[in-house]
Amino acid sequence: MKREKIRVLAMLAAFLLPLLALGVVLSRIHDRMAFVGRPPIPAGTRILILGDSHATDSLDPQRFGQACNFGSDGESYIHNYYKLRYAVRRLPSLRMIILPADLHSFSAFRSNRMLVTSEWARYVDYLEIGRLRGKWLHYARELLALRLFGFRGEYQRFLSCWLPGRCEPEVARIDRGFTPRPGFFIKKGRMERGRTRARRQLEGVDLFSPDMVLYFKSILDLAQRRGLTVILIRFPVTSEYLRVAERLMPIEDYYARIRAIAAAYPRVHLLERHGVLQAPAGRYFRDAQHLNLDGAAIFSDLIRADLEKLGLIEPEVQNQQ
Amino acid sequence: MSFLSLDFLLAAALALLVFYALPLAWRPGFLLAASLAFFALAGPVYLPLVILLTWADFLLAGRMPASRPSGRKRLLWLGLLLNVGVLGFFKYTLWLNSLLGAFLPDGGRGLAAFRGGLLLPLGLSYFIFKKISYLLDAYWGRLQPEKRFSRLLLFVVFFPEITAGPIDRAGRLLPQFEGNRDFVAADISAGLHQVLWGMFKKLVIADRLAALVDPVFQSPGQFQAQAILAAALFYSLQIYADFSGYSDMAIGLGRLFGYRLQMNFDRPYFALSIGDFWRRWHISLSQWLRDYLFLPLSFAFLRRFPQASLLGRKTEAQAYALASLVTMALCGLWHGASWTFLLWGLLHGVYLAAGFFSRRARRRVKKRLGIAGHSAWNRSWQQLSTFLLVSLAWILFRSESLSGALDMFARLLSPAGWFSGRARGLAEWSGAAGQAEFAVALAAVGALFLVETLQGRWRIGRALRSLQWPLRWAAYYLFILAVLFFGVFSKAEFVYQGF
Repeated sequence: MKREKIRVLAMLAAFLLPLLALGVVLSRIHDRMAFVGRPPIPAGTRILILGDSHATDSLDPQRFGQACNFGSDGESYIHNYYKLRYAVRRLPSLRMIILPADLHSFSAFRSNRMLVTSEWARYVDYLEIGRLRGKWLHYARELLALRLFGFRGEYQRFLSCWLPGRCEPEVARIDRGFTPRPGFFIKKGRMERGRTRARRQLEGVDLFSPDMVLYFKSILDLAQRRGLTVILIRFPVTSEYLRVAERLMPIEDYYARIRAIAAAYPRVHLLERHGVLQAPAGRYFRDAQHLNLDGAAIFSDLIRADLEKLGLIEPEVQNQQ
Repeated sequence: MSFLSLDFLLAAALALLVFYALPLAWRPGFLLAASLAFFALAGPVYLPLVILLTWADFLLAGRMPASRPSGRKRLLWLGLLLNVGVLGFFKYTLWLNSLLGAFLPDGGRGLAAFRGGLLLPLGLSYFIFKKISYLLDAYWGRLQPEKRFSRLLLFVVFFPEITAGPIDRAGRLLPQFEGNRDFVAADISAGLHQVLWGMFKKLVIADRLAALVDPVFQSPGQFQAQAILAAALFYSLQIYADFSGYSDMAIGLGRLFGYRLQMNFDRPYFALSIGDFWRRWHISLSQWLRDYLFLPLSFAFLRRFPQASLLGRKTEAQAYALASLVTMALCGLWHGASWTFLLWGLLHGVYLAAGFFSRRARRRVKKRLGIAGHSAWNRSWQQLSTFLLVSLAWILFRSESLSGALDMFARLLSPAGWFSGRARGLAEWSGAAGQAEFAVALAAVGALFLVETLQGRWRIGRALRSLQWPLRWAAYYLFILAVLFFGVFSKAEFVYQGF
């Protein structure tokens, strides 16, 4: 009987090992496919744009000289911190980082959604997050699942990348991390859509989550140690979104708290540019809180002008472009 | 903890290793500890409750053989009162409160606040039904009351069954716990087959179909009747794949530990009538309802009206119709305290009664038309009509509110519902999920029906096991990769876990 048990156990192990090895290989192939549209940060980059979809959609790095937009959708200060840590190790040329400081930037809505994905696993130290949150086992298990079965449910990505000519267009669209997104926020039901988005991000959650504050300070600390200038931007939102947000949170107090944190660091600037591009209504937005392609072009120029006024961008840097 | 979570799969693998490493006599004890731990993970506060309730059953049933008939009856009623009372408190108080709260002094707010703050114990409806069947079987003398409390507790909380059944009978499972079953390699192989097949049904079929079905049931007003009908048909497949997938995993898990659990599905959409459907769908529940509700009700009616003939029908027919309606209404309420479940059950009761009353007329019509009862055409027609009737009833089951269900029926019944220009039609509905998603969903459903058709003729598992190992392993690898590639991994809950 004992011999029978050992035989079955050995067979199961012999069956599972190649399967797990295949899983690791397929997961790595999947990771590479997930990055088809995201080339590495160019060497010599001086300005690094971090943040979520607001930063990704709104700031065209070509308008800032040797800059790269390194943000991506759904990111929080936690991701931003690890991405910055990743970047400073590789970019001795880095001088400035641009970060969003939006109404939802400190919301627990984001820290609660700390997913383990193949894209973020490149930068984020999930085990460190697990230790900090007292959930090391949870993150270790998620990471293991990602390494072994990261390709699960991803048949569409495999099919599209294995069929000729399906992957290339995305590479062409994304330039130095900037993702131009067309569209206008002029359809019916704008108020409703604005309300839905604002509520999802701001209602019933801690709007100044300690988790976010911790990572925000970590970013500022790291930037200070490396001698980097930090630009915080309050990105434009539509009046529909703002009206709901005003009912859900004390906006002035919120920014006062951000300014109080930033005041402890010498090279931090907060640019409150949320009120621009409001007319004609929805013309420069693709939804309630994201600029479209046209809006991004104008907004990038505005921010560049602000940086020039602050003396942070040399005119010759622009001319090189 | 869901059967589909990595935590569960790792814990189950570890438990299996420990189980077979232990001496035979220790295994039931280990299984009990593992089952209690699994139960406690979902809500440790209810662990004392389930232990105390089982202890009560143990004492009450244990005293039955030595008691007089009247005393035995009292013991039974006490046990039933306890079990049904707990089920009723957790499952129906909120609903009853919403219906009758107006008559309470504080408008029912106190009770709603108290009950609303409590979670439902894991697998409540399932383990209460197991316990009731144990008491009734002991009362009727169908089984000898269990002598060891730990074994009865293991029967109640056995972890592969606790979440959503099958609702096994004590007479089937307890003897298996008694016999010291040793390691059988064939059990491991058969168990793994069934677990994998269950995963395929749940991850590739059910959850993929859910993405197509959910939008229609969430806002039926936005869809034309053809999309509603398609969603109802797809929901029939989704819930089957979901629940039978769960059942396959549960039964397969039991088999891995060497126990044979009750079969829960037998190709229900190949049923020839609604009665046949209930012999194939959720078998452990429908047999429970038949044995402990339908038959006692029918006999009670026949005893009360032995020679009567009401409305020109013989008493047997009346008894059948009445018992069907009551049984199915309670079956509906077992699923949840809401009007939609109650009406779903009642509709099935009406189907059963109508099927019974119309059987002679249907036979006459077929005879006149010259249709042979066993012909392929007749069987196909019966299967199709049964599937359509069941699918229409699922609308009530799935709808989020009674008004939503009525809205869907209204659209299906009115010509305007089929051609309403502003609502989304079939093409828009199927296109919303993407062509690839739709094609994969259809292919997966096709694979399911192909396998089930083949299953009707021969045993696929046995045929697979008889292959040379390289071929067999290649087939397993392909199947596992298909599940991994085409599965949907964002949902982990099974529909029937909620009941």
